[in-house]
Amino acid sequence: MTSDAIEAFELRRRFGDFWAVRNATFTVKRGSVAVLAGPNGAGKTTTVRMLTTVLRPSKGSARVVGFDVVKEYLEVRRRIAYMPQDYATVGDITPYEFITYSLMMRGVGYFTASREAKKWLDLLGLRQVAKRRSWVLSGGERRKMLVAATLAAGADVVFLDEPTTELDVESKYSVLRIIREASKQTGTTVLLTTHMLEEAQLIADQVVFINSGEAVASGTPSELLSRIPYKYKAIFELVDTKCLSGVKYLSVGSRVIAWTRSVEEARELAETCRPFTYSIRETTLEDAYLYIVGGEK
Amino acid sequence: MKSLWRVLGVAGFYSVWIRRQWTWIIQGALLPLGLVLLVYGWGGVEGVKLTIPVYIVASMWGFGLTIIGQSVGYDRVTREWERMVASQLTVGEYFAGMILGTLPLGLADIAPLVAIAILWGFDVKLLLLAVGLSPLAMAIGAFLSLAIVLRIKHPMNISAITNPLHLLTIFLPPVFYPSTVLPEPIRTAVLAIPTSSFAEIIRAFSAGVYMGERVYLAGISILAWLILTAITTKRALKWGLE
Repeated sequence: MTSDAIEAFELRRRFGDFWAVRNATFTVKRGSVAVLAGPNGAGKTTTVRMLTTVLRPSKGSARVVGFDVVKEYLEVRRRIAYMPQDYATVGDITPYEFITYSLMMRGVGYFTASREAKKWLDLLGLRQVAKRRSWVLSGGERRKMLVAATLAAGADVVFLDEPTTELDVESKYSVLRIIREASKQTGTTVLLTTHMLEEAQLIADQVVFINSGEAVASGTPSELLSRIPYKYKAIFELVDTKCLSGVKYLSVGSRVIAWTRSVEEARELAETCRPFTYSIRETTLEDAYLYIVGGEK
Repeated sequence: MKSLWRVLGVAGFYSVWIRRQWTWIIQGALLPLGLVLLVYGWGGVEGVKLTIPVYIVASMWGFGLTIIGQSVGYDRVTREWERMVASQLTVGEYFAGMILGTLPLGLADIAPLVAIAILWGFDVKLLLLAVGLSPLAMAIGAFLSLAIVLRIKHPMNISAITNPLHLLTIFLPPVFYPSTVLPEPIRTAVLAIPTSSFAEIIRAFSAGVYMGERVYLAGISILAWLILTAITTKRALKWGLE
């Protein structure tokens, strides 16, 4: 038995003339929380839809828990749970009903499903709204309901496509914590997608960067961070960027993000450029992503 | 047993909106009752005798055409379809659950009519014929709408297609009026419409009217529709791996 829960090899998918995924090659270890990270339109959702047997790959192959997603798709389906992006449910359903029926749909008996539903409603802090119709719930509560139903399935591999969209900061961290705890307690492998890299850094054992339909890098957050030679970034507010000659930087309006190897180097840069304001921070996965995707340019 | 729970789980999902918006049931029951009064007013008891079995079949045709087609369309727009595909649920369990969950809406039309027919002492054989033809009418209606719905590439409100199609097949051809009012060859040509054929069969069996050839033609038309729409749906229906 392979130690990888997900193995994607040169996975490709075309819609007409457009290649939504051009080359997704990566693996995800069993029991880990992996994040497929990249900008909107990078091919994250299409990749997940192929891994969950919703879409047939145009080329390449993938295995989930050792089973081929095309040839052994029924075996794959028995072992996964999937929360699609932009998923919307019937407005009249309550969170309790949603989780209960979702579990029954997987072959769980009513009484067990009902008990599990109550447990997950408690875990995600939804007990108070358990009997409310979902159309009166907040966007965050609805999203929690969907995450709860997906995690409650007890699947070997859980796919969550943008699970924290619409969530406020507090709810976002609460959901991320529960996803991570559920994975660690039950050994469930989680693959979630996001375009917010701070989330990835927070939750992931492994991160796969995807850009323009291509998986460009994969590793633990610290491994990916080690691939960038810069450990710090100085955020300046300045008018003229001439002083940054020879320095890797990115302009965002009047603000400039300049990457440096040390705090001292950042301070020296600030002395030279004399910005209106500046701050120095450690580099994050966002910086690693920009570096890996954009290269040294 | 697991399969049964899966079907019941899907049925639970589909019954939710009917349970919460139960006035749909009232609407479903009011329409046939109104029609019975209308027909009684213009055509007396004989008219009602014939209208009730025809309405039962037409109602189940509409159930298949609108409710099942729209439910699948809605599931595809909301991505519920994808969530269900990526699970142990089979396509058969999905449709069985959907039909079971929404059946109260279909039965709301039929139940009052059956009660009226029995209380009025109408021919039970004709009622049984109508009830027997109903699943067939529902299946062809469902296949027809699915053959269209499953080929729509971009998300849209499916009822914009199924509702006009429903009205077109129920009220324009000779379903609630006799085909004898139409001149030949139109009278025969309308048998190509499945709802006309169902109504023609029921009319043929009522009051001992002999229409041998027309019944055969109607039967062939229904069979052809069943085969054609089933094949067309099967080609478009992909339960994952699209």
